[in-house]
Amino acid sequence: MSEIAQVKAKSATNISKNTQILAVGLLGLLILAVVGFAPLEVIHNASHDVRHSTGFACH
Amino acid sequence: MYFKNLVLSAFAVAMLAAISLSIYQEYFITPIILAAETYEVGTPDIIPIVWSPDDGAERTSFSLMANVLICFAYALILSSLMALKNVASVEKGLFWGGCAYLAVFVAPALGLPPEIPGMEAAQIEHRQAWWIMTVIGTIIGLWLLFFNTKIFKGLGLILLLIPHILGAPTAEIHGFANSNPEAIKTLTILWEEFILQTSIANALLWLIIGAGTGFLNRKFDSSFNTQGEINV
Repeated sequence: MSEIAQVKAKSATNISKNTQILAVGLLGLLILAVVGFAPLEVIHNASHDVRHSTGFACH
Repeated sequence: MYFKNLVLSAFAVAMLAAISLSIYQEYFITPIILAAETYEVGTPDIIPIVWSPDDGAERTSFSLMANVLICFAYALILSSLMALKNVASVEKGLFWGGCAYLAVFVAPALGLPPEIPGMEAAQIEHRQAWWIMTVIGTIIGLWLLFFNTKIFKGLGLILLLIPHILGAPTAEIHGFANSNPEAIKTLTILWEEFILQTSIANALLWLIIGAGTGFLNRKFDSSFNTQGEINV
């Protein structure tokens, strides 16, 4: 393992469990914001049927 | 690494949920949307200004993609909440999925039922704001009800009720944009069918996400243990 990889691996282990859980939740919220809420017309049109099906506000 | 495990298992669960949802959608939901669109009124765009997928394979593909993304987002959020409580069994996962269904679909649908195209509704920003408030309120409310002591349980109940006491934003004239009585009759039937089918589809997707997350947590993730220690 290279030195950089070792440093990376070490820093990864130092991130607490809760911080990692928070990161997972935030990633989910970010994706949800784009697919379900983004006002951009192109994104709205691409995800139109899914927004209707999952009960998100549409139009 | 813990983060990677959670993301990978969320993705696997999301793929299963998205494929199931897409199949259900293709047969039971999209036909209703397409039927409702034939009654939409307004000036049709002769040259569409903004891109939208063509009906057929292209539209289905984009819906599949959006389903994968939305299921992935749902799975990431649910698995992060389940990880906080070290939930790692199919039975518990089903329960968590059921609660998520109540919070993300049922609670907002009580004020803003899923709508078919061509319906008059309040300004979109107001509906989105109410949706967000209701979902967050219901999640925190359920969390307090299940995991806290008596006083906080009361607060949880209040949080569950507040959005519905305030009421969802509604259009001044609620109904269909099409004023033809025959069209209204057909659209009303389509709308009722749409609410039923989306209720089933969303229950299906949340139960798959909940059970799948519980199953994968138990099977693959050795970092789940009662002491909450980290095995990275």
